[in-house]
Amino acid sequence: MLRDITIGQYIPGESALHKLDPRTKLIAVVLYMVGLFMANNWQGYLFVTLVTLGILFLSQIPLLIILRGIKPLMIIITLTVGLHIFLTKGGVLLWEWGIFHIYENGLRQGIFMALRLVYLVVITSLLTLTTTPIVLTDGLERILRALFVPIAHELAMIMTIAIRFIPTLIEETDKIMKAQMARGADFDTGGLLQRAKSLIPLLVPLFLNSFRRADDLALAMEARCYRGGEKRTRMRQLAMGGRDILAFVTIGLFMLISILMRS
Amino acid sequence: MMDRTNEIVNVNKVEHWYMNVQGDNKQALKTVDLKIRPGEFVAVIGHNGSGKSTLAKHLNAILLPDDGAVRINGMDTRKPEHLWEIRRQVGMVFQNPDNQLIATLVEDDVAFGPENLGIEPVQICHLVNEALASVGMNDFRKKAPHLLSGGQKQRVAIAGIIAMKPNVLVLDEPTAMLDPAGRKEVLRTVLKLNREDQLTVVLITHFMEEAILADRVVVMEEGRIVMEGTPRQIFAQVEKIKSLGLDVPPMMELRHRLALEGVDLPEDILTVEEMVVALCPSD
Amino acid sequence: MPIRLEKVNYTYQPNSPFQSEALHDIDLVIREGDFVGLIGHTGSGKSTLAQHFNGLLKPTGGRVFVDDWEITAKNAPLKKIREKVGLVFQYPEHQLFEDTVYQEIAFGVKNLGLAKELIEKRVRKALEMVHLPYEDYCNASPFALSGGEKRRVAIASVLAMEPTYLILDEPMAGLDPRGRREIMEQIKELHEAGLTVILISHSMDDVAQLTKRLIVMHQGRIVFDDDTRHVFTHYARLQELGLDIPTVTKLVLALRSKGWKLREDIFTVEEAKEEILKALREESKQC
Repeated sequence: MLRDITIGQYIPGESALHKLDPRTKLIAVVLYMVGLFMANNWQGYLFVTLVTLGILFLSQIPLLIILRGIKPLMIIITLTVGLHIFLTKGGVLLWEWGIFHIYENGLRQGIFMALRLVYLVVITSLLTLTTTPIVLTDGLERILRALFVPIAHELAMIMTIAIRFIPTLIEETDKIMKAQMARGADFDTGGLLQRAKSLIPLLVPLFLNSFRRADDLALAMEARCYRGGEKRTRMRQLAMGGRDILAFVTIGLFMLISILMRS
Repeated sequence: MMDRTNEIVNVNKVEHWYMNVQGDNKQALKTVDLKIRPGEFVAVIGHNGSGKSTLAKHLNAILLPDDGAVRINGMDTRKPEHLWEIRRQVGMVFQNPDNQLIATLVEDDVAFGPENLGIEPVQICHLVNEALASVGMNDFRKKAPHLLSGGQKQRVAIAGIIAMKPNVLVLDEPTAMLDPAGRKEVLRTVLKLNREDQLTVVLITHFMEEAILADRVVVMEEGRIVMEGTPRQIFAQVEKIKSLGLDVPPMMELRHRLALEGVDLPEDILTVEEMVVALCPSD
Repeated sequence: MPIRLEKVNYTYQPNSPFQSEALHDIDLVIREGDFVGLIGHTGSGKSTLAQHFNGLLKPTGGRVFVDDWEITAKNAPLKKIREKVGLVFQYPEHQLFEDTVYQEIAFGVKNLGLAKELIEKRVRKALEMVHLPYEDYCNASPFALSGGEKRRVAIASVLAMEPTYLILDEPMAGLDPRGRREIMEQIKELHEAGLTVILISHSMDDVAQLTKRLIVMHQGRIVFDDDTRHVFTHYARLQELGLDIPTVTKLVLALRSKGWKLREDIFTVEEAKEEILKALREESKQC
């Protein structure tokens, strides 16, 4: 149940994508998004699809894992697509039933929107699937620093700690839930209000325990000479190579072509 | 300005006050004196609230004395300019194995301390390798901490300290939350670091079978050091230890009870082997 | 009426790459009045097993009965089962959440839907059972208590539901020697008061001193299920499973190997003293 969450999951590998510098990947994702949002016709989407499949192939991540990542978003995708299909007018009327009309433009918009959402999820999950969280935070920290964002180190630290503690907290939630169920608590029945109220015995201990953990962690960090970002060095060094340049050129071209294909 | 003595830790008449939940001032440490020599293994025992954790936190300037002084290699913990050097020299491992690992990979966690010290990346790699090897966790360097057992997590926490090349390792009930296997694992690591690498160790514990491994045992009660000596000297005083609410190692207890029945045995029996020898003198 | 497990299997995350078998063909009966120790090292399946006793986990194969209810049945009265089978988790003080000790202990009882006067009666009785005077504690915040007191409040909140069976998962973990002794005394009293107690522990010394029957688990299977004294005579097998035998038992074994005529099933200091004295007096030692 709670264990199915795949956000931030990393799959070890040796693919070209795995080997890219995290900064390259982060910037490339942004450029890809620009390219993706530029596409507005069948040719454009076909091009984006081909490139996306290419990237997917390069990552060597099994398709099944990608699909599993899309599954939880099906509701949102269906909803958005539905809205577009039924609310966009124009073009040939394809289908009609009572107050419901589907026009050619609506169908096209719906399909485009679905593709756009799916590709967004695919590309961002590829980022986390091929980059360890720590490297990703490293990359982000360095990009933010280069942009002179003042709290770059702190942000990165918060992210690292969050990623580190997600599994611990999931486990803890499970345990507290069971412990309260053993005391007769019921999380599954009753109206909305009843259910919200039943969460108190879960949330209060969860928060209290998290504060306790945060206290402990702060103490342990201080004891290990942590004093913020200044003077701090990093064991892991990032270095861009030929592969990264190639990636930039490719993704740049992709964006450019995508813009040129707009109608 | 060299300290004339060769103590690495010098706790001198330390007093410490704190405010409890009800808002009353309470004294956690009362005129505590403790000197520790390089390479020594000191165990601190006492029940909850006896002040042993407070004492531990004074050793690396997490807490500062209200009166008296704590010196590490001659450096006064109250002088801000010594703060980071003291924290580097006196490493601390805490009770909860889940709440002291910071990074998402074992090797990154071990690197955390050296990174904070601003050490060169190449050098950090060396330190991390050495530290992981010294606690036997090299094979786990690419693992996520939450996939390790309790004992393994504590060994990683110890490695994180070792990577800072400390002179003193302070462990605040490091085995309290572990199962027997994890407890043994951690203890074996600590013993190895003390005996083979000559690291000074201060171990705070509730488990008497751990305390008997130390060179010296310090017993605390209500903020004071009430007993101090070798494990044999301390645990031979069965009645006194019990009156402090502490456990006596089973063989000491047995010797005591046999002695009360008139069986004549040496006073300082700690282990099963020693008891067997004492009961079978002809061997 | 007993708790009965028939060929119980449990697999975590079945049909996934992370699939792992936690319990394998467990057959087990726990009768009212039993005092059972459940031992095994981390990952042996003992906590997973315990969660089957009150339906927090349902077997992926086999059947579990509590009294006449089958927990795997569609309309199993899980609330009733959890009232009957109280489970105190490890570090139960981490699940406290109410403003006062009274509210905390009343939480479980309220979930049973009892009348107000009855709730108060239950809270009083539960606090009495864990030796916390009602007047001193009922209005205190559970978070202002000491570690040992918090744990007793947590245990009381399960006791207030008046279970027939009480399962305690590592109830002594993390306490200092005094706290450990207090909780041990407490558990002994609860059994004497008529509760069926199942004590999950890694400590051989603790189960040796308390329980009458001992179940040893290893890799999801029951290795021993017998009289506690009898289980300890299989010391070689226990050590093979990575379980420690009590220190006193080690001494007795060492002395026996030297020709001392001592009983094999000794695990408290007092018993060892008696046996050694007897042996010395009989001058039957041959070393």
